[in-house]
Amino acid sequence: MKLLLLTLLALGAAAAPCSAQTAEAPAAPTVTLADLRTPTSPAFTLLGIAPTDIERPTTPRAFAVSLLSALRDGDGSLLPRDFALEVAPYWLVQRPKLSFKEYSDPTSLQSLKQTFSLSVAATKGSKEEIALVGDATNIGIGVRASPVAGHPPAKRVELTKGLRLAQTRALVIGELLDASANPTAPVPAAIRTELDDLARAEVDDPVAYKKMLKEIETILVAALAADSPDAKARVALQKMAVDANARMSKVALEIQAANQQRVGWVVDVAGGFVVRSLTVDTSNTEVTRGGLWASTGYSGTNTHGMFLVRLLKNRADPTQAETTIDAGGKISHRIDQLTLSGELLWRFDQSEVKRSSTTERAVVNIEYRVTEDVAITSTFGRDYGNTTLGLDGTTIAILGVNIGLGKLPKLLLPTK
Amino acid sequence: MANPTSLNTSYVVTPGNDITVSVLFGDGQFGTSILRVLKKIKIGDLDEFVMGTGTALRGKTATIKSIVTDVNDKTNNVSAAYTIDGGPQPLEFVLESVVENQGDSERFGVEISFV
Repeated sequence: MKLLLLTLLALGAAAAPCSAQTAEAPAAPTVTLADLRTPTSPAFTLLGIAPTDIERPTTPRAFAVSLLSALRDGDGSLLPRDFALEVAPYWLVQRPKLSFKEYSDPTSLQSLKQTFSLSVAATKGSKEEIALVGDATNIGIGVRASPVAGHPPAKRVELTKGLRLAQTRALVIGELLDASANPTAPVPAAIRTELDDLARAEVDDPVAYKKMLKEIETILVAALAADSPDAKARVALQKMAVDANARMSKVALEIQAANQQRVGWVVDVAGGFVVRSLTVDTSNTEVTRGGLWASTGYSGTNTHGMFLVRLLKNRADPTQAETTIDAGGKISHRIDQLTLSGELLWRFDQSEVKRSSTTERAVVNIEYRVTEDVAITSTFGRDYGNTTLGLDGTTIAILGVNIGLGKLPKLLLPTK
Repeated sequence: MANPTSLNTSYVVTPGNDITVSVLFGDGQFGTSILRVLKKIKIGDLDEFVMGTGTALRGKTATIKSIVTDVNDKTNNVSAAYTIDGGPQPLEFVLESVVENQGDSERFGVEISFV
């Protein structure tokens, strides 16, 4: 371990003068692997928006209502101006034949069906677009799917066992509640006689009056029976039933979270385009932006790898039209406390009027976790190419120490 | 109108044949059932579970109570498909519901009279 620490420090020391160079790099926005990830909602990504109010219909009727209301709110125009919708068609109807196993460990076809989603959004044209072509509405349409979705992590098995146990407990408590007698106790004779006398009274609304008397009697009986063994058993069982429901809900949410952490091979694809429609002439429409994304990755116990490709076309301003293909990959492997990772990034400018040549970035990262709170990291590599990736073509070399300042939670065990 | 979450039905048995029951929880959800028939109690998955012979079951009743929990974050729909087989005709029916919140559970109840 000492040797390893010394090696990391030596790498960092050698890198120190170069770090200063990277610090002086131009402040252009850097393209990172995260930028190439397949977006959840391609339509929103292409429009460059992050709407907070997104319609997510879950039934065909709600879907139709969303579309109709969007068109109605179109500000007098046929097209909506401020609208965002995301829908997974497969889940719009009940799927009584889809088992938990088929859903969580799907075949490619099933995965394609259950992950396919459509995103649609509309926004007003940007200031630059309005200056260029006049008032306009941009409508983005995108689709996304994961034909290969890997499988959930091993802890899901333990969680489903926990849910089975919680459901069994709830069923058993339900059986006991059904079997337990409804607690009852006789009303004292004097009150019984008076209640019977009052029941014969002449009133304006006999039905409501009888109902009221019955309620009074029920409350009396419950109060009188409150201390009976039956009543105590029911109260205890009802409390257990509430706890069982809470337990089932907690485990179910943990299973939902575990299902999101896919391991094994995963393939995600997405695509979309933006149509611009002029307000003065809605028949004047053109496709101004388009994008395609594909990513594949593998997550194992200690090894993770991913490869991402993105194609973007943007001709919102024809004089600045550009087509770019970005590709990147990362692989990391953990050996005990040591994590080694390598990252590559390319950009190919396919525009008619090229604004840059192929650019690349290659980085190796070594991280050693000294304690749970402290990690030493060393990053070295090279940016090749010009500033379109926000990179200056210099050597990258960074030595860092990450220190966690938060307190670790402590579990206090009860003392006898 | 909300879907019914319980059902009383009857099933014509064939004397001598084993009568089975299966419960499939749909919509990618996870469920557990308790079956009570004759003197048997079975808790867990019911997959072609033999309740008894037609002769033994005729005139008797089976009750199945199921809990299905929403473990699928893509939908709040929950459903259970019940299949009774072994008689002249299989009997299939589906009970469906929609839970209010992610992680909620729904209870279904079925009572089958054997004739």
